[in-house]
Formats: sequence, structure tokens, C-alpha cells
Amino acid sequence: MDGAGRVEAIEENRDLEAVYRSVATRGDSEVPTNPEDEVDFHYVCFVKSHSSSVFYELDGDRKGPMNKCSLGPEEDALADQCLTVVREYISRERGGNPNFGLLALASSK
Amino acid sequence: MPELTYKKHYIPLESNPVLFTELIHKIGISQDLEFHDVISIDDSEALAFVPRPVLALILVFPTSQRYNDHIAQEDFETISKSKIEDKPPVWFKQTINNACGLYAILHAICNGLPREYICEPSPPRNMS
Repeated sequence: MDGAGRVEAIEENRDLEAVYRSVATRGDSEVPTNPEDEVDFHYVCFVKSHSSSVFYELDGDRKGPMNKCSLGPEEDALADQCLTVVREYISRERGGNPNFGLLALASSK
Repeated sequence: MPELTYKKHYIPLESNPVLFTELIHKIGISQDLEFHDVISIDDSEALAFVPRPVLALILVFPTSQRYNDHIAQEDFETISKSKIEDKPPVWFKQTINNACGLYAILHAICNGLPREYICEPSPPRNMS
């Protein structure tokens, strides 16, 4: 599927939308009543490429994928150079809002 | 946040590993994967609680003018020079407002090792 196809696939997928809403409405935080209100936090993904050693920053609000660093074959997303990338985000806000959160996708066992 | 035209608006997703995990399982990711909270990236004891290997990270952070200035600069300087491999990563342009949590999750599960955990058939398999 190409880029435009993927964008539409997310927008138009009713099952995906229904699943998302069922989960999003169950959070403990106060849910905004109007989805059109702006929120003041953002999520970005960092992941190692499936076809190379590149560690990418993936954010749908940016111009495209961003090559952040290289990882060795045995290195995962908590390698030192990956944590350095995360620290850059945090240090940029030093003195400002410290409310950062980090979630790691890993084994459930 | 950049000025963009969003076709749809979702309510935002709370940064909660339980909710994130429930979402990926419901859209077709194996129960063998889940999201874990990383309490600290500077405390080796805290990091030791996270199972390895970690396949992807999702960072949630406050947006600020400082952040907006940074991404404007980075987009101008870096994107055109960024080395994208022959097989670029799966990347989705965000067109649904406030759904950055969903897009971060889709980016995490459609790239890298998480792809091996996609159950067939499912939205992530069709999009990756």
C-alpha cells in the first residue's frame, strides 16, 4: 500500500475507529467533550527499521520519517544512542514543562 | 502544533500502557507483545524492569512554543538531507486531529520486529 493509500486506510477504517474510541474513552484523565479542542501534548514513535540498522523517529505531523541514529544488529530501542535521542527531547524543555512519559513495546512474558 | 487541515477529529488517547496494550491487541497484534511504562531513562535499576529487547518506543511530551520552533527548524534543515533507505519505513501522514497516540501506535507496530507479531488479517497487515 502506498502513502496515500495508507492515509485513507486509517481515515476510513470504521473498525479501527470504533476500537480506538472504545479504548480512548476509558482513560482516567478527564476526556475532552469536544474532539475539535486542541490538546497540549503529542506522541511520537521511535522504532528500528525492519530492513536496516536505522533508528527512526516517526511522527505523522512531520514531513516524513526521520533518521535518528544507527543501531547494531543486536541493539534494541533502549540502546544508549536511542536514550540520547529521547534525552534531547527532554532537555529541550528543561525549565519548562517536565511532564514526559515513555512507553516501551516489548514482550509480555 | 503545526497548522494542518484535519479531516477528522478524535478524542486524545491517555498515555497509559494498559490502554495502549489493549488497543494493539484489539487491532491484531499478538498477546506476546505489550507496552511497558519506562519510569526513568537515567536510572539503570528502573530500566532493568523493562523486558528486552524493546522493539519500539512511544514518547509523550508537552507541546510548547520551544517545541514548535524546534520542529520548524528541523523540518527545514533535516528532512531533505535525511538518509532514507531504499526500503523506507512505513510512515503515515496524520490527517485526524488529536489522534497522534493512534498514529504513534501504528508506527510502532507496522515497522521493525513488531511486524512479526501482526496477526492475519488485520488493519496493520494491510497497511504495512
